[in-house]
Amino acid sequence: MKSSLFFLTPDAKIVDLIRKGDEEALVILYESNRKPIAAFISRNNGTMDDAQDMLQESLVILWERVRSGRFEYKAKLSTFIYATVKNMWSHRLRQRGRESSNDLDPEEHEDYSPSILESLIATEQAKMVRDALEKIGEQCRKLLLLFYWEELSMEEIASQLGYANAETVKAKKYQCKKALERVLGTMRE
Amino acid sequence: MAELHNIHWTNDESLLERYALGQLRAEEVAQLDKHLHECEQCQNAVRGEQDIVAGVRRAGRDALKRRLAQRLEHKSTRDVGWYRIAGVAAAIVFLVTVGIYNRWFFQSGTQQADVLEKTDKVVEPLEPTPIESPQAEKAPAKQGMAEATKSAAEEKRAPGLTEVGSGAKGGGLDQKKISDSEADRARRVEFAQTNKPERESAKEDKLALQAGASRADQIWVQGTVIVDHDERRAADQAMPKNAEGAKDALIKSKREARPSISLMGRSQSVGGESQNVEVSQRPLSALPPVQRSDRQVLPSVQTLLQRDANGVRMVLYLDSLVSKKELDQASVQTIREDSIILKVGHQRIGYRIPVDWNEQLARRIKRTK
Repeated sequence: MKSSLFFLTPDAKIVDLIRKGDEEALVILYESNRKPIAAFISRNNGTMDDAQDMLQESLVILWERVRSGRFEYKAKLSTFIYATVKNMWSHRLRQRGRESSNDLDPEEHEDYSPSILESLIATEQAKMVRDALEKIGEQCRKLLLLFYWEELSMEEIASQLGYANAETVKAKKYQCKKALERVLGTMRE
Repeated sequence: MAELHNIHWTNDESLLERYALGQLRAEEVAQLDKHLHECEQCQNAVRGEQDIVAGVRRAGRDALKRRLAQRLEHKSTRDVGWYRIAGVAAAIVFLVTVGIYNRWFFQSGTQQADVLEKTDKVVEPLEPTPIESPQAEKAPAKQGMAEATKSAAEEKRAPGLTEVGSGAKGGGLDQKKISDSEADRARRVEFAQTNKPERESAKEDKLALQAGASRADQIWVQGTVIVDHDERRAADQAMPKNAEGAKDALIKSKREARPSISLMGRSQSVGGESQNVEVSQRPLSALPPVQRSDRQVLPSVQTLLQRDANGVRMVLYLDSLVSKKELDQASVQTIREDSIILKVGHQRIGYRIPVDWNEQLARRIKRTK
């Protein structure tokens, strides 16, 4: 009964859409949060392009959290998005050497940002892996994305990609990973 | 898990992946970290696995952002398209509405103006009181005229001078029946001419039709063109054969434009000297259909006689063009009380007209200098 009530809220419906892999949910969230995010970024030395980029990044992070099962519905989605944008923008401003405004009060800051993942994203190695993924084939790329990015189980990957069972997916994943490492080794030489 | 800190636990692919993906519990991670601090081989393995995880996740995010941007762009384009289509449709509807409104408004306004103009023309009052002219003083005695009128009405009509057209004939005809039939005919003709573009001449035709029905203000008469060598014969036809002397005098008077000579035996001429009348010309094609009679004998001239407070006007329907000077100098000579001759340029046209019209023609002629 509680879950059915949960699904009555608009946020619950959106979360359900994301779990099912419907990217239209992100479009809905983008349209509903565009103006407040743009207002925040513009007040803090940002442009409309910065606001657009930050909003899209926050929606991607939400997507990852929901798809990997690590998302906890503690507050409204708009609150999660606003907090994520604030944290990322503060980090970017520090990187750019700009001073932020009082809106970025550390006491109001809630740690919704990825921990280890955030630092690794900025490295050159991540960019190299990204380029190598484009060279190992579509099927391997999808499989590795589902496993490493969306963190689906072997059974879920088998169901989504049409493999016979989880063992088959495991074996295929091993082959794709080795192919990726070979490409990375070639790119580093 | 207690023994892992002493072995290269990174050889376990699954454990390494779960460590890199952060799927291990905190105590498990702590235990594995103890070995990592001491083992460079495992550090490299972990670093490699973490690079793969980071790179794959970065690729996933970038691809998702690209797809999201494409969806947003497609959505904005679709919305603009609808707005554009709606705007174009609204503009088309507006233009069509304005066009229909203008056409309806101006057409109805034009028709209304025409109706009003026609109404005004129709109801334009004419003074019933005849204009007193000096000519009346010179007219023969009224008593004599009455006797002559009576005698003329009883005589046989002479050929050549055809009868008066529609409208008033003699005093002895039933004008009401004629006027009713003429009214019906006039209305049918008017209906057939409804869609023709309005011209001044067409308006005159409508008035003429209405007049031809029953009005005493204008009548249709059919005149016969009199050539020079027929002049004597026309005079013969206009008079009884025993009035030779009067005939000669008549011919002479016509030529010299002297006052008409009373005719013996038939009637007494009314009116005095030949006077100018207002004569105008219209093409034969402008003749109302009701007046295009099969019994019209050429050379004949269908003529509309109109009279009002200002005088009498004759409208000749001719194909041959008569100069304005000739029209301005046209004159009417009364042969007898029911016969006149219109002289226009070198042409002379004889008419049989009602007696009362001839009297008024003599009195209400427009003097032109």
